[in-house]
Amino acid sequence: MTNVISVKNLTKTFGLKDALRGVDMEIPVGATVGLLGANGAGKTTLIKCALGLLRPTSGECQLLGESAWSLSAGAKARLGYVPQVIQLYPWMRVAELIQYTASFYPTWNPELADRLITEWELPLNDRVRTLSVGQKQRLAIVTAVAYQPDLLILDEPAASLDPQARRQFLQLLVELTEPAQRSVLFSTHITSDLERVADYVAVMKEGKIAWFGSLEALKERTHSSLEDAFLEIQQGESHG
Amino acid sequence: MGNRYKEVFLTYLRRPFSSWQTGATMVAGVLLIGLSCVPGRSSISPWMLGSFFLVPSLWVQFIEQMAGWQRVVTPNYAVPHVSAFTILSAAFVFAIPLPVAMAHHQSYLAAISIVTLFFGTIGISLALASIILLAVFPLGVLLIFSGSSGTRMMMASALSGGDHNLTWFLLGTGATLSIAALFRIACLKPEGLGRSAPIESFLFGWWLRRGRSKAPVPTGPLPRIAATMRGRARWRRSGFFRSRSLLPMLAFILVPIWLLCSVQHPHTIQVIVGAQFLLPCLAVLPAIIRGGGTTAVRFQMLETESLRPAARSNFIKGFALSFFVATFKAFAISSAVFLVAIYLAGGGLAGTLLLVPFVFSIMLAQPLVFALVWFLTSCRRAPLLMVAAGAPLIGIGPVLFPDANYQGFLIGGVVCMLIGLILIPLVYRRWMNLELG
Repeated sequence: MTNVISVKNLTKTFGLKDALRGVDMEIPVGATVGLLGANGAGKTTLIKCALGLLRPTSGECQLLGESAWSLSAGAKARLGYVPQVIQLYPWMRVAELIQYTASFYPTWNPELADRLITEWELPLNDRVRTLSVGQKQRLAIVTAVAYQPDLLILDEPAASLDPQARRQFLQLLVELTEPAQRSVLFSTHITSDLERVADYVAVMKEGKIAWFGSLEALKERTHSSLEDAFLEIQQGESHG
Repeated sequence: MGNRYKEVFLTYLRRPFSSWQTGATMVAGVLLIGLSCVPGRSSISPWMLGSFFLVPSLWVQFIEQMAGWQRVVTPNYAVPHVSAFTILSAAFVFAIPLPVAMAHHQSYLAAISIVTLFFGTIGISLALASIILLAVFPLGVLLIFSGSSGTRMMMASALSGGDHNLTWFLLGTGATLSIAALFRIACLKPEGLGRSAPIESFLFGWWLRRGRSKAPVPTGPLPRIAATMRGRARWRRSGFFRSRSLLPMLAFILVPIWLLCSVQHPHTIQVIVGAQFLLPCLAVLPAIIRGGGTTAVRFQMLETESLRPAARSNFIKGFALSFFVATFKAFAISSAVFLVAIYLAGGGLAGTLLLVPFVFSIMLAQPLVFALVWFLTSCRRAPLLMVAAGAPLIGIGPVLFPDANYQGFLIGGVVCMLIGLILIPLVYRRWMNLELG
């Protein structure tokens, strides 16, 4: 398997609106890909179609070599996902949620989970509903990375994190992507985060991939910062 | 790393006691079932009442755990949840009828059949996210607890087990509904669950689809009402979450009062209809609605999270949820006052106090009043309008109708409620056209 995610001519329509218009994308094994795009560009829809949470209107979507709509248990065990809107069971205590999630994953690493909980100061005895938005996001990240998935998909994972937590998260992401077989796809608005961890950048615009390539290539293209390059793509034609 | 079957099973034990409100509701349910074992007690209503406290909680938890994105991306997720739910459901169905069968020498099989029917009806209502079924269900509760001679005879016949055909019919219907609900929830993909339920496409859907030409609308009545939200903040702003914590507490207050009245003035309680169906409606129906709404919202969220106009969802939430919350809060308060009055004043009030059924009727007429006002004014102050419309009617009711037949009012109130529920989509479409036009 050379690609962890393979999307071919993916289209998704909601009523009269085309959220995705013929998206093609291939993410190789071991790559860290940042998905950049304006609000409403289709990043979350693309991620959900890739995960099998949404059925595409047309096109094909493969994840870890299997059809995204019918992933096997083995594929799911190698997949980690942090959604944009954190939905954890509000009535569970943090420790109970950790235990509950861990029971589904044979590769759960309790040392990693404990380390993250300690570093991020998550209160084990508190119920999820009493946590702040940032704490819930951190908890969601812990439950997604603690079993060391081969493919990690993160939908704006740092949006609600404070600067210190964001830095810790990015350091964690760098650490997680060290093994050659581990791949990451994350969407973000924060270009500085992309610059720190991403190998490749996919820029989405109006439901299509406007640019896909290495981070260096994108910056060299415009001889400027990633943010300027992104703005130029948003204003101009699609390339890549 | 523990055993996933054990962890899932533990969630069903932990969740009921994750807050004092839900814990109180559970305890109240168990106490009510235990009350039916009191020697010499002629009424078995507490047993049925207790069922209404416990059974929806089970379904709501199952649906909430199966309706999330975790089910799609977590390996081997469905089987432990379905297993735990099935085992606990079977335990409920066999355990709940046991006290009444033993204490009142009724047919155990017949009692199981009734509980199974309750179980299946609640489950299919939530699984289909059908507002029609959710509206019909309290009607059924109403009939069961109405105290009319017809329903009493039917209940007595059903529980005695003398009518075997009835027993097996109830058991078969309940089992079929339960299995259908279980399969619907367990087998469909999240996006599939967001589609219109079959019953709606035949009965209600055709009427809804007629108005679909101008603007894209979500499918299904309950998804429309609870369509699109971004995060929990909107649920809080809708006022429902703020009120949600109050409803179980009111049930917790009402149950002891009702129990006390029941012991002190048993004949009075038998005559007054309102108390006996108030409590399940109060404690259970909001949970059913919330469960159904949460389910519908989660299914719809998967598909339309970022694509629906925010204002439309605020209208739907503000209107539908405020209606139910306001209705049942007023319901509870008036019922609590009524029950306290009964306890203090004794049986002498029984013949003249029609307040509770009348209030209930007026509450049920609120959606009609509200829909009319909304339709004519396009105003968005839903809760304020409801209070403004309902309060004066409550105030003048006893003056205008001191000797009226309460059953007539009750039926009238239910009819008004159903008319109101049908009018809601009309109002919604008109608002949409005004908003989008």
